[in-house]
Amino acid sequence: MLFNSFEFVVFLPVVFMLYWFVFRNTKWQNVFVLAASYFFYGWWDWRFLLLIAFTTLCSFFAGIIIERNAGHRLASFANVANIVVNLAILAVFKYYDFFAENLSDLFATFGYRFDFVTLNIILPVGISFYTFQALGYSIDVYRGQIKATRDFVAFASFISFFPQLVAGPIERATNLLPQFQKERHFRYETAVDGMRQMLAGFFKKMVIADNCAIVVNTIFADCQHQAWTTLMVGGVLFCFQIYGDFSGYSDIAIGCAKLFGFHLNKNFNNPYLSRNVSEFWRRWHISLMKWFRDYVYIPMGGSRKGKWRTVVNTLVVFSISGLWHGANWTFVLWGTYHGILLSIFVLMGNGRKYKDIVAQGRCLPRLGELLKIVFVFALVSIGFTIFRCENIAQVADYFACMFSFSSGRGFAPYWVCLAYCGLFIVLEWIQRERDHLLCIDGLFIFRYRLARWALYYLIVILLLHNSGSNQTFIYFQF
Amino acid sequence: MKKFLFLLFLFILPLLVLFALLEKKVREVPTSYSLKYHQVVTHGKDYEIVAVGHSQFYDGIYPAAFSRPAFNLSNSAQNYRDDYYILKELLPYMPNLKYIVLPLGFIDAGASFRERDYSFRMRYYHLYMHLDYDHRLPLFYWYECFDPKNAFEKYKAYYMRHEDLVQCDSSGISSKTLDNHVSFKGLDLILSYNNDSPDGSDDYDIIDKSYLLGMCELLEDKNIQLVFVASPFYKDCFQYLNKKQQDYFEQFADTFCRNHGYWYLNLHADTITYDKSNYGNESHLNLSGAMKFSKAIDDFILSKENERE
Repeated sequence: MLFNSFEFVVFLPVVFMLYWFVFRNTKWQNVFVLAASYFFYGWWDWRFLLLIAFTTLCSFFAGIIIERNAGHRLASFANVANIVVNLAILAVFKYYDFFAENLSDLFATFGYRFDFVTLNIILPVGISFYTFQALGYSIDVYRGQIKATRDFVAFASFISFFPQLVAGPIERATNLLPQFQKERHFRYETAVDGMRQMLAGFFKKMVIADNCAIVVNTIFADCQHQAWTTLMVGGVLFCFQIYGDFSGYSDIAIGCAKLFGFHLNKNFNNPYLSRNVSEFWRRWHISLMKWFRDYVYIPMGGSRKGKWRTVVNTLVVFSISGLWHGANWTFVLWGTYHGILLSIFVLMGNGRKYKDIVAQGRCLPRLGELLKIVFVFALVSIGFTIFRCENIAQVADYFACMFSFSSGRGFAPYWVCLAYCGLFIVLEWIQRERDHLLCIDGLFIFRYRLARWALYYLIVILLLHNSGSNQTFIYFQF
Repeated sequence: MKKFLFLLFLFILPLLVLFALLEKKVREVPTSYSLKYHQVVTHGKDYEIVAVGHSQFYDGIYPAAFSRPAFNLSNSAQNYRDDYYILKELLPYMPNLKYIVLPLGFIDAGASFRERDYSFRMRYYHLYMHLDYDHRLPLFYWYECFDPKNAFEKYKAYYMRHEDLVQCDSSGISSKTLDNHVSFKGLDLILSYNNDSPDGSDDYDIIDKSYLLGMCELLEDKNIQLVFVASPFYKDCFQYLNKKQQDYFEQFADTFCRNHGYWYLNLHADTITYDKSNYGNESHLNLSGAMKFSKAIDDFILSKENERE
C-alpha cells in the first residue's frame, strides 16, 4: 500500500481508531499493529508475507540462542548463520539474476559459454530494509548491546512496523524494540506534530518529487537529443526528486509512527546544506549510514588503522552501500564515486569537520559557506545523475552529451519545477534548525491557530491541485 | 484525544464539503461517455447499426452517413475489453440492432505477450456508462474526486473556461472536436502504434483477444451480424509501420472472418479514396473523411445484404 494512495487514506484512520479505542492493552496493541502491518504489506502481494515471517522467525530464535550461549561458539555460529540465511534470501531475490547475467558475460569474454538460469523473480518491496533491521538485532544481541526478547509479537511488530516497513528509516532494535515493550500513551502535542510531519512529507513527495519526476523522466528518456543545459537541469532536478521522494517518505513514516506513540529516528537532516561530502553523508539516509558504520565499517577497522586503511574501508563500504541500492552497476559506480570523494576528504583531513548545521544562529550563510554548499551540491548531483541512469552505457552517453555542450533539442517546461525546488530549498533553509519542514510552533505568525490552519489548507490545496503524476516511491525498489 | 479528534474533524470538514461539491459538479459535466450512455438508454431501440471501438472509429464514424439509424459508441483508446463490457451493459437497450461494426486493423495487433494494465479511462466507463467490470477496480476509480488534480482541471475547463468537453479525449478534458483536426503531428503518433516484440520474433496476436472472442459469442447469441473494418492510414505513414504487424493483422482478420462468417472490410491501405484533406492526423479521419468512411461501410453492408438475399 502506498502512502500517497486513497487506500492509505482509509487504512490509517481505521487503524488509528482501533489502536487507541479498541486495543487499549499494550500486548493487544502489538498484536493489532502486527496484523495491520501484514495487511499493509500484503495489500501489495500477500505471498511475500511468508518471507518477512521467515526472516522474523530466524532472527527471533537466533537472538535467543545467541543470548543463551553467550561466550560460547554456538552463539557465534547462530549469529553467523542468521546473517548468512538473511543475506542469502536477499541475494536470491535481489541479486541472483544480476550476478548470473554478469558471470555469463564474464565467461563469454574468455570464450566459455555458461548459461546460468535466471529466476526473473519480482523483487519483494522493502526487502533490503527489513533484512538489515533483522540483522542489526541479532548482531546487537551478540555484542550484548541489547537483551534478546522473548516476546515474539513485539519482535515481529518491530520487524514489520508498517510506517517504516518498506522504505525505512532502518530502525535499531535498541531504539524501537523497547517501545513495543512498554505502555504507550496518546499525547496531543506528539500526534499534532506527527500530522504536521506527515503533511510536510506529502508536500515533499507529491509536489516536489512528483513534479520533478515528470521532467526528469522526459530528459533521461532521450538524453542524446537534449541540450547540455537541459541535461544539467535534469541532474539537478533528479537531486530534488530523490530527496523529496525519500525524505518525504521518511517524514510520513516518522509522523505516522508518532500517531501511534512511537518515536523513529531522523533519516534526513538538510543534506543539501552540507559544506563537505562527509557532512552530506552524516545528513543523508542517516539510518543506513549508521548501519553500515556500526556493522561493516567499524568491524573492518574504521579509521583506527591509519589513513590508507581508512580510505580502503571507506571505498569498500560505499561500494557495498551502492550495491545495496540495487542490482545494477550504476549503483555500484555511484557508491564508489562517493567513496572516492570521501577518501579525498579523509586524505585532506577534512572528514570530521562541520558537526553543526550551517550558519547556526544566523539568517544567511557567509559567502564561503554558500560556495561550499553549492560545490558539494554539484558533486552530489553528478553522483545522482549516475544513480538515475539505466545502465553504464547511458551514464557515458549522458555525460558525453553534457560535456560536448551541444545545443540539442530545446526543452523548456522545467522552470515551474525549478521554482518549486527553489521554494523548497528556501523552506529547508528557514527550518534547518528544526525537526522538520512544518515544525512551526511559535514561528512568526504561526503562533496563531488561524495562521497555522491557513498554511495547512494551502499545502492541502497544493497537494490536490499541483501534485505531479502519481509515482511510487523510488526507494520501494530497494 | 478528544481535542485531537475534534480539531481534526473540524479541519477535515471543509475539505469533505469541497470534495463532495467537486464530485457533484464534475459529474454534471457532459462528456462523451455520459451522453453516449444516455443516448443509448433513451433512443437505443431505434438503432440498427452501432459502431464500437477506439479513436479511429471515434473520429471516423459519422452516423448520419448511414442509410439507416446508426450510432457511434466509440471513444478514444477504447479497447476490446471496454467494447465487450459496453455491449454487455447496453445491448438490452437496443432490441432492433442488426449490425455491430468493430475495428480490426493495424493498431489492434500487438506482441502476443504484451499485457494491458488497468487504464485510468476505466473510471469514466465505470462512472458514466455503469460498466460492471468482472474484476475488482481499484478504489481510485470509484469517484472523480479521488483523482483531484484531474477533477479540478475538468471543473475549471467546463465551468470557468467554458470549454466544450463533449468530444473529450482520453482524460476527458479536451475540447477537441471532429472538424478542428488540422495538424499532422509528426511521427511519434504513428510509431506508437508499432508493437515490436521485445525479442524481435514474429509472435503477434490480437490485443485483448479473449474479449474479442467474448463479444463474438455475445453477439452470435443475439443474432447480430459482426462487421469488422480496418481503418485507413494516410499514405505517407506506411514506410513507418511495422511490416510484420501489418501482415499479421491482415492474415488474422481474413482467416478469422472467413472461418466465422463475419464480414470484413479492409480499408487499411486505401490511399486513393482518402487524401490528405480527409485526415485530421496521420491515422485519424476528419469530418469529410468520416463521411466517406461511414458511407463506404454502409455501402459494404448493403452489398453484403444483397449478396445474402
